[in-house]
Amino acid sequence: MATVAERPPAAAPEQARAAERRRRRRRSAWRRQWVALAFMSPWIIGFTAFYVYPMASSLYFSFTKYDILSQPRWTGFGNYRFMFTSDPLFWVSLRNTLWIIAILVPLQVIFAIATASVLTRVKRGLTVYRTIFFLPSMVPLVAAALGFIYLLNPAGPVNRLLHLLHLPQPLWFIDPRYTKPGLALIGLWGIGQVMIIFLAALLDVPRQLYEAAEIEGANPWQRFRHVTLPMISPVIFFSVIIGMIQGFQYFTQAYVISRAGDQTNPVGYPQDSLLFYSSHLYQQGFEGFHMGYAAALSWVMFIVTMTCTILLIRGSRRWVHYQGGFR
Amino acid sequence: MTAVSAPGTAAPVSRRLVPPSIRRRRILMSVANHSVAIALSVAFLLPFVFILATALMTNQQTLSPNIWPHPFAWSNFKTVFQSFPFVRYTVNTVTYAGLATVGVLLSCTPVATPCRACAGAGGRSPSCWCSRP
Repeated sequence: MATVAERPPAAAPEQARAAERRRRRRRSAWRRQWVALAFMSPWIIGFTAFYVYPMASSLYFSFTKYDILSQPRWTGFGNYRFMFTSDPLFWVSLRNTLWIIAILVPLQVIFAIATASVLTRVKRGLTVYRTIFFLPSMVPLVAAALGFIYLLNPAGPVNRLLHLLHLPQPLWFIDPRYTKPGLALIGLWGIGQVMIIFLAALLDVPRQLYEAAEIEGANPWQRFRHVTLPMISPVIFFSVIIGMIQGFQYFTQAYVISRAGDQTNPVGYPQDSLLFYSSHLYQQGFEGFHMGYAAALSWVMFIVTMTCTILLIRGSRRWVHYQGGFR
Repeated sequence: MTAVSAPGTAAPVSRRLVPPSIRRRRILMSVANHSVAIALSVAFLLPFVFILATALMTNQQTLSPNIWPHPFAWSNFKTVFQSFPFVRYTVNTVTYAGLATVGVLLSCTPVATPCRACAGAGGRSPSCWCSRP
């Protein structure tokens, strides 16, 4: 401002030119914005048609009574009130789902770190071990579930091994107390993809940090606790979030296991021990045709997942360390 | 392990001597690591082995307490192709996978193109939808 006021004669054409330049830049910026939009349009159209529209309509259906055949009837918050006050299966399914999130997901993270660190310590045959550890995660979920039904059947190979070792032989998928540990076995068996991410993270930890820690006299546990863990904390954070989101959607294995023995078994057989939130939702929506109630269930799940993710991100600032002090 | 000599000098590459105690410890560590890795491999592979073995059993054998198939029932693999429209299902799967891949490429590549362009411009231009300001 001050410099402009000092040189009035030359300022006028200069200003005009600057304004023209600015206008042109803005116009080209706008054009680029439209070009960018045009490039994105296939995705935008798909996103609107297959995400925004179904989400909006499911939000509407969650306030109605809707059985697909007849017109939806507006019931206000009736579905939500029923869910929290008079649907006992809602709480059962929530408890089972929380079991997956609170027990299976941490177990998976620990097991993945353990297998990955075994891989970082072997030199010869690394590719063979890596392939073997990763192999189970290539098995389709349905196939894995069917395979484990056979493996864990009361007279199956696993129980025969346990018998040879004189260990107790649970009835696994028949005994409600052992169904979820059985699922945990499937989950730990198919750990490959998480393990690969941890392997990359572990190999990424700068060697000089370990050397420095060793010179300072840190023992292996201290080196792991104060060098490895902070360095891989972003990956732990990532896998916990992904694990939690997938935990809320836990469905396939439980559904296949409940139904495989007998198609007429209720979802969640035996004794609702395999009734997960998504199973409950599926049963309400596609077997009971309570579409409105199922929509309400899915919106509650969405809000709970979102809240948990936000809480995890908030809490992560205290224990997740990004290299270079980013964030 | 080896002391690499500077290029041009004719000094022989000498192998650094590792004290036997450290060598022994290294070998022990390696044995320990490999045994853990092998144990884990067995755990990961056993389900495959059991299921492959079962795939070769007759239906009666699967209910018997034997883990290994006695007469190998290779005909099971022939039955797979006959008992349901195997070709039809395979074609369905391949069609789905192919269409999904093509769809992702067609819809996502154009989205990434302007992202790349504005990343090149320092990520600060107003047409940047992708980078945070």
